[in-house]
Amino acid sequence: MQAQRLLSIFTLLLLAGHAPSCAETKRSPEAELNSLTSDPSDEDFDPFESYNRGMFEVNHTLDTIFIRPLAEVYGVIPSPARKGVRNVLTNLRSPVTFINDVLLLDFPAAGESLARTLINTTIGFGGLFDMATEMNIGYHSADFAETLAAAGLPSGPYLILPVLGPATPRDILGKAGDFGMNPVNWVIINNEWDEAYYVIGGLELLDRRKEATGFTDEIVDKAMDPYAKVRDIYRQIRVVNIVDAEAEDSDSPKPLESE
Amino acid sequence: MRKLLPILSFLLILSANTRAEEAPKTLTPEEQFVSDLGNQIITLIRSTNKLEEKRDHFRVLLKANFDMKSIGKFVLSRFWKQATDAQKDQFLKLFEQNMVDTYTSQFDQYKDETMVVNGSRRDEGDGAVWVNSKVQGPARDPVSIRWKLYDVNGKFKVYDIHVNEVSMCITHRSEYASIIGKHGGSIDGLIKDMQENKAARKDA
Repeated sequence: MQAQRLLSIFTLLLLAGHAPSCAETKRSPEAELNSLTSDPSDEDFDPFESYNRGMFEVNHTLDTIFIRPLAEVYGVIPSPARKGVRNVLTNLRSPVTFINDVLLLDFPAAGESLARTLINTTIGFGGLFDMATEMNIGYHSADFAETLAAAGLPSGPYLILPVLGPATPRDILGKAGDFGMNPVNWVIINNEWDEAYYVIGGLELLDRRKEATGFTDEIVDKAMDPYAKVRDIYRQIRVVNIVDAEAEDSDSPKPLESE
Repeated sequence: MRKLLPILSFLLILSANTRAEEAPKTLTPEEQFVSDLGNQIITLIRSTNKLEEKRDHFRVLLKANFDMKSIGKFVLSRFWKQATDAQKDQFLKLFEQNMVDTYTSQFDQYKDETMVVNGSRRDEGDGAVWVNSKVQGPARDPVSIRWKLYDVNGKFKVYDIHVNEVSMCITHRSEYASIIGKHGGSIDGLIKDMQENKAARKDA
């Protein structure tokens, strides 16, 4: 299974002109997990910490004076309407999920994402209503960064991007791949609907920021070291998306031996 | 009567069917524990008590149901061994206060949420049981919460909570390690920061 996955991704990377050397592709999920859950202050993962902390501050300021207030305003819209917006955005991304399911040779998941796309686009009125979930075909995510990780590409160092926030080179490559493989974007490009990008991008930003108000804000605002906290949450989410969620369960508290 | 019979039997089948679908599966003892604990917290969230009373009540729940000492040890990781008993005590007190303040200050946002337990998994390796639950309300996407339990001397205790697959314990561990690192490996430095942070929370 692993070999098959590697082969399919290797072929893809060859096509893209990015053939990695064989040595680099030999990276098990366990190795991935270890590299991601190793000591949090690990310089291997965050070698640019001082730059990152600076950019984190810049982003935090931008967020405080600009993005967060906008998200609060967006939050005034009744939640069923916002739910509809989110459903449409999710549906626009669903071809990416399907393609990455196929690349990961996860055919049951691919079947689900294809069914979701077809159902929600048609009887869900362009994705406005998540009819697929009503029919017990639930949402799952799959993106090119995960595909690259499964192929053995290391994440690279942790980086805070201006405005966009936490990322790794693998994530950036993944995002570029997701963008390029989404037929929705081909349609937009062919028709030169530039406004569509701004609308979709703007709504994505507002939707995500609105969702993060509350619990996430609280956790970060009350943190003693918000930077370290965000870095760790980011790392954990990536591990879960890339490795099986239950693989990391061993790294957690246990009853004390009698001392 | 003869006409009524098929209708009645049809209704009977229908109700039996829906019952089969809707009746909650019998919960395992671990699932029951999490369900009860979740309901106690939700009752507390919805109560009209003052924030101060809610805090005290939450602290009681936390102490009774979470193994705070084991969690504290995990969170301090390698620094636990270096810490003196006095430092450990001080840290555990501040850590507990931090938990109480952080969670109770968010109570207001979760007044309309409900929690459903959906299944659990036993880790055959060391006997831990992971109970899955989902918190849902009208205002946001459902949040998945996984609880890690051990049976300690016949009583269940919580050891970790994963909120949307993010372990709260690992998150605390990273943050504290970073702060201890900032203070050049000093546990007293962390304790001092925690005291200041506590004071800042009180002001807020």
